[in-house]
Amino acid sequence: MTPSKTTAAGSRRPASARWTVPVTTSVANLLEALTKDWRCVSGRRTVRRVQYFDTHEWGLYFNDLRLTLESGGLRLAPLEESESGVAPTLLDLDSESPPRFWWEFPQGDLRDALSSRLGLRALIDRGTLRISTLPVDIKNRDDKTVVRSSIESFADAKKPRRTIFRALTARAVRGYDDELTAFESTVAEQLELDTDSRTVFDRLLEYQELVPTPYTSKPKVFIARGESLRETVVAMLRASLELVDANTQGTIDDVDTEFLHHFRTSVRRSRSLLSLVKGALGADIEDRLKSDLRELQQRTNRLRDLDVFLLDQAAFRSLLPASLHPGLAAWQLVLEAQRGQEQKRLARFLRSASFERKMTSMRRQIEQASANDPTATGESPSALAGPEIVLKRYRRVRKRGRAITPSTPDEAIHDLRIDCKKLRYTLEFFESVLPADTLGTVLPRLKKLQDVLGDFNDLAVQQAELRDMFDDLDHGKPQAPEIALALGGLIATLYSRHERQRDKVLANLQGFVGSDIKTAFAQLEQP
Amino acid sequence: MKRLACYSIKGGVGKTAGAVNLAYALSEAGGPTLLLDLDPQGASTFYFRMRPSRGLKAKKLLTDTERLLSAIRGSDYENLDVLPANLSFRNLDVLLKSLKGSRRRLSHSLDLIDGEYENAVLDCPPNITLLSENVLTAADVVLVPVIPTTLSERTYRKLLDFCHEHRIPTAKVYPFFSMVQTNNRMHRETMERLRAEDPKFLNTSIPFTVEVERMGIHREPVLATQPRGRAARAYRELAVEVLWLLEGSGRGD
Ligand SMILES: Nc1ncnc2c1ncn2[C@@H]1O[C@H](COP(=O)(O)OP(=O)(O)OP(=O)(O)O)[C@@H](O)[C@H]1O
Ligand SMILES: [Mg+2]
Repeated sequence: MTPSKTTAAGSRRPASARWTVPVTTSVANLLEALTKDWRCVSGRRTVRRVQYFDTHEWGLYFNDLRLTLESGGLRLAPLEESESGVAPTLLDLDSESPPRFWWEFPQGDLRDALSSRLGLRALIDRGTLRISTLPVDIKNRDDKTVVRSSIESFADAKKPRRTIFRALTARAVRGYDDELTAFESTVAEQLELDTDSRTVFDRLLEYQELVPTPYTSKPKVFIARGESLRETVVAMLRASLELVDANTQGTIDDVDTEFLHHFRTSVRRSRSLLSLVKGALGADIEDRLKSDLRELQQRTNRLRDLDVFLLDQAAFRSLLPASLHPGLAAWQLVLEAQRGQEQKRLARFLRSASFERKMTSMRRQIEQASANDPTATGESPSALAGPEIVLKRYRRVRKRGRAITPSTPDEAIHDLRIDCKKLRYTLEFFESVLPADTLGTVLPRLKKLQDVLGDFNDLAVQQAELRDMFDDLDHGKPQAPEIALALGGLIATLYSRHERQRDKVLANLQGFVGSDIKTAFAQLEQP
Repeated sequence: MKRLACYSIKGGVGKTAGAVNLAYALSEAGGPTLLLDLDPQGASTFYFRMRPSRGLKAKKLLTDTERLLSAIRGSDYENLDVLPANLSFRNLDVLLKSLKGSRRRLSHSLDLIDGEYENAVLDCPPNITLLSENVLTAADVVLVPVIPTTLSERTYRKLLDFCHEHRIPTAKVYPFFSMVQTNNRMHRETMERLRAEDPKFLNTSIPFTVEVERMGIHREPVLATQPRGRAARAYRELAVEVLWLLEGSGRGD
């Protein structure tokens, strides 16, 4: 027999209800009110501490899940489920806090469930509740328990004295549904309590003034009718800088690698915007912004490279025979040490007054641009200029793409990759003034092509970087030969993959420079 | 689901006391447990502070799973549910006679709730009828309380004869001593003699105690009111023995 089929008392999910009790109503008052209509027998009060975890992007919350830690046990349960519910403990912890990343969890259901929801994100603390529960059995005239109720008082574990909210719950005893219904109407009519549909976690978040918002690293900027190119660019730059800001603290605290990644994505998008939409803000301001942004990018390059190498370790392992794994492991230690240093260095910079000044200065430039007299380009409407800029990018891709043959040197393919990236950016920038069916046809195909080109590029770049790693090795160290062996093995593998990837590029390119994509872009041409 | 019956032809020997306390002990040790009160007198039902069910007529018990399930009630204890008695269970016998496959009817009813519980405990009325035949057929283990007196001994033999007559395997029938007064010489001697004659008597015997007598006042199993008392300890020990027998009874779960 499987336990899941069991419906006996306790393991079955019986009917239940839950009401909000005003914090001003004490437990004693509530009990007294209940006692007017029902025989109540209270049991022993218990106190529990429940700590909640989620990621920066609320990867669990938005999947209707919550992860809690209670007396050393981790539970993953539906958001809706009562805190005293039946979710089984999935992992008993030896330490105070759970692993940060899904891949640090032991193999099993919990790890599987978390992997897709957490991605590269770390679990972070989302608050701890102190839950004090007074069980109250509701009896009939035979003194038989017919409803199991309880009064729960919730406090922030850091300020256990102050109850932040209180709830009354009732759970049916099998076969006594009528009694539960009667109890429910007493609570609604005599006690005048409202049923509580919000989850306990939601109330904790509200108390902490945390609002889960869907996070995106790509700000969607809607271009208003008649908006000028300058206004559009200013709005996009503002949004991007906000994202840089939003990802700074997480990068400093080194919560997970996604903070830096999104920090850089925002910087890169801003730079691309300035170079793809030239002249909208005036050359002076654009140059200054570009140089500030370039500096931000350069200062973060090395840490990002190390992050990527470390994230790739599992993939590298699978590419190498077991005999080379010790070298890989030794290399990983070297990388981790380097990353530690690099992270400190970057954190120091991000905390510095100089970074602060740079950000303030960039913001000022942007506001300045929006206050200055507009340039001729800046004045033109985005709805007209946007499609033109996109078309220009598309023509570039098409021209270069058609020139590529099986014997084209790598460099030309890499240039094509850059052109595709620029095309993608312009399509995204001007999304709201482009025809939906053009986007619908073009974007999926472009994404596919970019993926293939991206892999082609990565395989080449990584070979070069691995070679640099080899050169940088401290060859006096005893592990050096073993690491060198692993690096050599990787370079050879990546080389042969790179060669094969070329065929994929050619196949995908064929489609993209063809006539249907051309027709889709033709819609952007002004009459 | 393993099926245990407390049965005896003789009344007042401790069947109900056994069923109630063993069901409680099994729910503690062996998972979700259902106690079925098949005695229209409803003594088990009473001990759990319940009233006889109105909805479930005898016929439904034997034919309608939904109705059977909806008549089940949660006790005040975790993992322990009760199917309360019903006055119409008085007519179970007549009804059984009218149905096809009358001997295995109860067994089929239990099949319907198989998977819902780990254990089913049947408390039965004290007579030899078609219902007894059903109970004896349905159960994996039949426990027979025997007060160490000659009269009780005779009714136990009668039960074995009945089984032989109806080709019910007696292998699953196990007697245990009930309401034992240790300071009563006659009890001691009878027990000694019977154990020598029939090795199937279980090791644990249930002492006669005031706690069990007062169950009718507390309306709770002695395992709940006096979990460390002499009677509770004995019932728990008996439950361990019974779990062994049930494990060995070969019902594939
Ligand atoms: N071990 C015990 N010690 C003291 N009293 C007991 C013990 N076992 C049972 N009794 C008492 O003896 C009486 C009969 O017991 P019980 O109801 O369990 O027997 P029964 O076989 O189920 O009876 P019936 O045949 O009427 O259903 C009850 O009053 C009960 O409290
Ligand atoms: Mg009885």
